[in-house]
Amino acid sequence: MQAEDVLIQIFSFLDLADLHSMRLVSRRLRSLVNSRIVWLDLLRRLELPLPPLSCPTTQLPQHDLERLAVRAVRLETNWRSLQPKPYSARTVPVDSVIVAMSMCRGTLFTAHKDGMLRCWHDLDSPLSPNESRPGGGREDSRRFTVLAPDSRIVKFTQMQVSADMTRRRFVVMYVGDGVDRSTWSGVFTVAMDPRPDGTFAAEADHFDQSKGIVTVAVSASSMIVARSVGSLSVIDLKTGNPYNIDAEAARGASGNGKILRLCPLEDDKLLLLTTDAVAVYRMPTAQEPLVDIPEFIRPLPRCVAGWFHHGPDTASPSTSTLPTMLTVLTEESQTLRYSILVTDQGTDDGAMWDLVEVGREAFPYPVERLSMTEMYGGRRRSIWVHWRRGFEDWPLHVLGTHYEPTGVNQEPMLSKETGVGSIPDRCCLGTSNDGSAVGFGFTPLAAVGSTSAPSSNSQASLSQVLWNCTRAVAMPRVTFDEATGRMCVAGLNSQAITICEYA
Amino acid sequence: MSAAPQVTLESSDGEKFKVDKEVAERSVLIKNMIEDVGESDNPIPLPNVNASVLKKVLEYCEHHRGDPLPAADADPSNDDNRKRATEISDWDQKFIQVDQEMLFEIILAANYMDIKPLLDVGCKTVANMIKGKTPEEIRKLFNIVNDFTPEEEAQIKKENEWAEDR
Repeated sequence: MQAEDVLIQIFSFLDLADLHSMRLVSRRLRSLVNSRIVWLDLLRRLELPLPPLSCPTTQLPQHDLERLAVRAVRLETNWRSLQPKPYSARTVPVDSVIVAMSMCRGTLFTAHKDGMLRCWHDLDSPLSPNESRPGGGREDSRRFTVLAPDSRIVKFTQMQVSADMTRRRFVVMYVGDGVDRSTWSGVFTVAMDPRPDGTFAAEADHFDQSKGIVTVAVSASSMIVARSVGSLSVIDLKTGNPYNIDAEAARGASGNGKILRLCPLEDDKLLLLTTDAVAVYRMPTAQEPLVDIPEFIRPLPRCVAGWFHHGPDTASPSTSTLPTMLTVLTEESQTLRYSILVTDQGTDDGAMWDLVEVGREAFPYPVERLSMTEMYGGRRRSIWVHWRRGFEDWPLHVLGTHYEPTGVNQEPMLSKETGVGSIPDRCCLGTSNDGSAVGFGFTPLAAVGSTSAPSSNSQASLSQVLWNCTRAVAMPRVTFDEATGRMCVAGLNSQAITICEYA
Repeated sequence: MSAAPQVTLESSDGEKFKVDKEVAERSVLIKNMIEDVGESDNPIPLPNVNASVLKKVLEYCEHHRGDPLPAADADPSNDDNRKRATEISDWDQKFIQVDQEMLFEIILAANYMDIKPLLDVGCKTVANMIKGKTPEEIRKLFNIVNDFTPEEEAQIKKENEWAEDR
C-alpha cells in the first residue's frame, strides 16, 4: 500500500503522454494509472480551460476525468501551434444578419440587425431559426433564448458578455440604436443552468433600458455600471440594492477623463480605465464612495481604448477570471500607440505595474473605430483599426498582434503588421454561406476569399487562398470559446454562422 | 550557551544515530512522536529504515535544517512543487545521485518518516527518469516484467490512441 502511494506520488510529476506510457508497462502500473486521483491531480496541474460541466470534477469517474485532460491538452497544443486547425467546421443559417457575437462557456450570444439578441444554449443541435419569433417579446427554449430588449431598438451596435460564476449566470450588456436615433443600453442576465423543464431563465436584471451605458463589470459581490455622463451604479448582488455614485464624485475619483472600462479585482477593488489614467479604487459601497489607492494610479494621456485580459477558467479555483493584463491605445496626431500594462492585482505593491509600448502606427485618415479580437482563448490578440478613406469604410488594418506570454517572466511578443491588403501566410478559417471561404489569419486579421467552394473535408485548410475581399465577408465577426474549443464566424452581411471545433 | 537538544534514532538494523532535535524534526513522524511521548533518553525506533538509508536521510535533514517546514494542511493546489515538476536544486540533485535501489529506499523512507520535501525530490528524480520514454524503455530501466498478454497490450494501445490521434 505504501509503495502504491509512492507510485501515485511519482505520477503527480508526469504529464499526459508519460501516464499513457506508464499504463502500457505492466498490469500493476495500469491499475494505478487508472486511479481517479491520478487524473484529478493531472487536471489540477494542467490549469487548462475545461468545458462547462454538470458536476464538479471531484465527482467524475476516472474515464471522464481522463477524457477532460486529453481534450484540454489537445486543445492547448492546437491553439499554441503555429497554425491551429479546426478538426471540423459546419455552417448553419440564421434568420437575420448578425452584428455582434460573443461566445462564453459554451453558450453563443448573437446580436442581430433586427434588434434582437439571441442566446444559443446548445450549438450541437441544429440551429432552428424558424422557432424564434422576432419582435415577439422574450421567448425561452431549451436550445435558445430570444432576448427582446425594447421595441424602440432597431439595431444593435455592441454586445458584451461576461460570466458571473457566483450566481451562475451570463451578464449581457448591449448598446443599440433607437428609432429616434438615440442610443439605448441595458443589461440582461441569462441563467447558465436550465430549469427543470429544460428552459433557461432570462431577465432584464436591475435595469431598464437607459441611455449611455459605457461598460459594465461584475464581481463576486457587485455589478458596476459606468455611464457616459460619468456616473457609476453599483448593485449589491446579494441584496439587489442599487446605489449610485454621481458624475461629480466619479469624475473626482477618476480625474477629468471619461470612463472607458471597469474591471473588478480581488479584495474588493475596482480598476478603472479612463481617457486620462488607469487607477485602482476600493470597491465603492453605499457608506464609502470611491477611494483611490495612490500607488495604483498611472497616467495615460489621450487614452482612446483599452481591453482587459482574463486568465483562463480552469479546474483550479486559484486561477479565477481576474485579468492579468491590460492593453491600452493612446492617440496623438493620428498616431496610435499600443501598450500593454502588465498588472499583478493580487498585491498592493505598485512596482508590479509595468507599461510596455509594443506598437506604434501613424494613420493618414481619421480612425473610425478601434476594436480588439482575441483568438484561441486569448492566446493571441490583435488590435483592429477601422479607418475611413473617401466614401468607403476600410476595416482592414491591424495595428499589431501580440501573443500571450507563456511564463511569468516572459515578455509579451508582438508581431508587427503588414497592413491593408496583404495575404496572411497563416490562417485559420470560417466559411461564408455562399460557399466562398473566409480566411481568418492571425497575422494579419483579415478576410480573404477562395476561388473554389470548400467541401466539408477541405474546410480545415486554406492553403490555396487568393486575396479577394470583395463581398460578403469583408469583416467577419468572430468569437472564440476556450471552454469548448470552438470558434464561431459570421460574415458581416451573411445570415450564417460557421462553427469550427478545435478540441 | 547550552547545547542544542538532541534525540537518538535507531535504525531497523539496530544502529543508533544521535542528532539535533531540530534536524530529526524535519520528519513529521518523529516530530509527532516526540510531542506525543515527550522528550526521553530512549532511542526512537525506525523499524522500516535501515542504517545506510537513515544516514542518507539525516544528511538531507541536516542540510535543510533551516528551511521553512511545509504546512501540514497546505492546499495542494497552491503547492508550487507540483507545477515545477523537473526543478531540483543543485545540492539535492547531487544528493540524490545514488543507485536505483538506494533511490527507492530513500523515497520509501521519506514517505514513512513523512519528510515531504525529500519525498518530492525522490519522486521528481524518478519522474525525470521516466519522462519521454517508451513503455519498453521504462520496463528496461526499472527491470519490470511485461505481464500483459498480446491482446491486452493491443487493447490498451487502442485505448491510448484516441487520445493521441484524431
